[in-house]
Amino acid sequence: MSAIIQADGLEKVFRDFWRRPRVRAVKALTFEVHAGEVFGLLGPNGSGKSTTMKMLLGLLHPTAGRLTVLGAPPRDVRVKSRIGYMPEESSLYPFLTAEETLDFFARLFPLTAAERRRRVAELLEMAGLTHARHRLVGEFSKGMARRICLAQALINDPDLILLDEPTSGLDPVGCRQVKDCILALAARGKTIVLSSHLLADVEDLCGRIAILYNGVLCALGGVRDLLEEPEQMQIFLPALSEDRRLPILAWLRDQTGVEPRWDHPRRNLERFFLETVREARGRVPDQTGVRISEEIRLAPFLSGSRGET
Amino acid sequence: MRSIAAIFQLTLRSLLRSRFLLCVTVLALSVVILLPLTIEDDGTVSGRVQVLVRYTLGAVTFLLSVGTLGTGPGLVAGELESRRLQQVLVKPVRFGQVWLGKWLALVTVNALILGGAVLLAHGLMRWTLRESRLTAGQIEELHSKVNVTRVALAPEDVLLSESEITANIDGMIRSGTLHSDVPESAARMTAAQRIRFERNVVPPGGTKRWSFPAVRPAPADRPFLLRVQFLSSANEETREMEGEWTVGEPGRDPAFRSRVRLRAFLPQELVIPTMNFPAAVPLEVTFRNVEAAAPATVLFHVDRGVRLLVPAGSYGMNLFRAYGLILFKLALLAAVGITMGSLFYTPVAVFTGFFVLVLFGFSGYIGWVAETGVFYVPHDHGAPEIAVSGKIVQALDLALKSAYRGVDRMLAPLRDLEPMERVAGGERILWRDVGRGLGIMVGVGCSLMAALAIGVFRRREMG
Repeated sequence: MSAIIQADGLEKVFRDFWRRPRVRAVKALTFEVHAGEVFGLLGPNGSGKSTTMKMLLGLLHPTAGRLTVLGAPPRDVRVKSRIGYMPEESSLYPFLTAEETLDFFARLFPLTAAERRRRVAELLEMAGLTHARHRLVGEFSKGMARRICLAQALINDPDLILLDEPTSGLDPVGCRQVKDCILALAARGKTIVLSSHLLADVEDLCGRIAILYNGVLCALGGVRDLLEEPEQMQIFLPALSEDRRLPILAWLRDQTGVEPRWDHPRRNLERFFLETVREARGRVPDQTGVRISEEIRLAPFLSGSRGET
Repeated sequence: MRSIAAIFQLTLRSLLRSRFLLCVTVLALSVVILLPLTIEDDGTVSGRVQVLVRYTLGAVTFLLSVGTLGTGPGLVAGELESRRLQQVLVKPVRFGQVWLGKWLALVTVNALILGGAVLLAHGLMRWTLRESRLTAGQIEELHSKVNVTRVALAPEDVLLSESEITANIDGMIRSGTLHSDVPESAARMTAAQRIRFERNVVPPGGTKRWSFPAVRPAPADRPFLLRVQFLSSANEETREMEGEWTVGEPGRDPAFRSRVRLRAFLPQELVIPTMNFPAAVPLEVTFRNVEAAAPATVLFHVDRGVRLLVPAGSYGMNLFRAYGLILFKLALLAAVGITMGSLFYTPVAVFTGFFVLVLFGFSGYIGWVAETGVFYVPHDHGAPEIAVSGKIVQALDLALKSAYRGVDRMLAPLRDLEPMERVAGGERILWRDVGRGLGIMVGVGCSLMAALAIGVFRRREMG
């Protein structure tokens, strides 16, 4: 697999007015992101996730090290035309409607008027905002603003999508839909880098992750490899009565020399919540301002990735 | 081009929703309507026009300058602080395109507001000066002086000779008005000024002569005007002085001769009736100080003592050219504002922009200091005195003077292209001046600002 992002010994030092080093936000960061993978940047607040993201976008200059995105420096205009970015805060122009917002961002790319209109309509549909297309985004709820923000990041059918805290501010339904959208994009071959401190989201979405702490890369690898505990194992069985369970546990104790633990598995809270809401939706009229189908349907123009660098 | 158009439209919408700019617009249009009611004119039609044009358009220009410099920085700095611009700059857009789109939008808004104000001022002037409200004399003044613009011809300059300057310096040193240790350049400058003043002094009974380049004869309904401005030694600013004026071809009997009383201090105009000469001829103007009641010396203004105003076009077109020059200045201020916003945070950018506006406002003073030096002390009576002594003070003076000269070099073209006085006084603004304004203020000034913004922004980080 070819590398879409290559960071080698990346450093970022923020300086004060007199050029004295103030904060060393990223230190000797080396990683690669390959075509078609969902890569997660994890870390507590102030760990350097957003700084790294901004260096990937060319908004910040690395103090040292080498960084290439899609085979070129991040500030290259050709690179920017293949990137989609969803910022952590939905900083939109409040005096534009949802449709005008997407149209404005579309006009920054070489698209014909007809193609622009088609993409805007498809993305509004995908974000569940078709009925709100004439509303000013300044009047949107945070969740609606996040959706329009994600939509604008996809307007150019990007090969590389950078998502900064993509689910922040969304309710669990919205979170699930955004996550489904990310997975659907990944299935179409898009390369996705997301930063988050919601570990469950990252675990759901990412194939590989990097964990940063205080600007230093502490862990890098596949989620499965990093989380697996090879010295233990779990066996799933249908629920057993006590008279059938006890001999099995005794046999396991004899075989392993340790006391085996057992429990009933719990449902995932997210899944339980979504099921409850789905049931309620049939009974109570929707007033959330967002109308979206159960299953995420990507905008048709979001083709498979144009591929490698 | 498509990106520039998108940013232009977005910025235009943002500006049209700006409350600050709305206040400026309301204030500007109110000024056009209300200011003429509060300012007293001299009762003449041309005086009325001067008030309407000079004060209202001057105030509107000032308000729009403030509006532009108050709004421009926020278009970049404000959007960076709200993180909206970052979302634009991660798209395939160069900062130069963002700068241009925003600048065009700000200039468009200025063009619209200024255009509205100029049209309103012009309409009000036509309404208040409608013929049904004027006397026959005022109607004639309206047609011959107000509706016509004129080219102001300066008299041919009589060069200062080397020997004249040297003799003057010697005389000042002998009389003790100039210290012998004053640097030569300062002494020469003082001497040159003294000579220029002396040449414009006309004692009681004395005569002063000016030569003008060849001019064509004027049509009967559009006479020449002679604009004069002088001071009286009687030290009464608006005192009337009697003088005999003649205008004619050199070496011949003057075609025009008039004995009139004119007020000191203010610019005054003499109407020169049509003279019968077949083709373009050079003219000679003379003044004889014939004040008998209370004889006093007359000192003509060194730079604009006498001007021959020759008819050359209509008032409406002149106002349009003035509109162009004012707009170019606002375009330059828009460029300054947006560039400052590209370099600094909003408060610093606004402050820096207003500092540039102050420089524009004090350009006359800066020009004066650049010429005379920082430690020049004008004497109230008699010859000027220079308080430059001691090597440190002299060095400081030289350094500051160089700095002032640098600023003055940048501001001088703008000062020369200031249209307000000219349009108010019925003096023609040439298309050449409009072209120069476009070239200097938009072509050079705005391009430099854009280059500075783009150059610095390339290194700027957006956290």
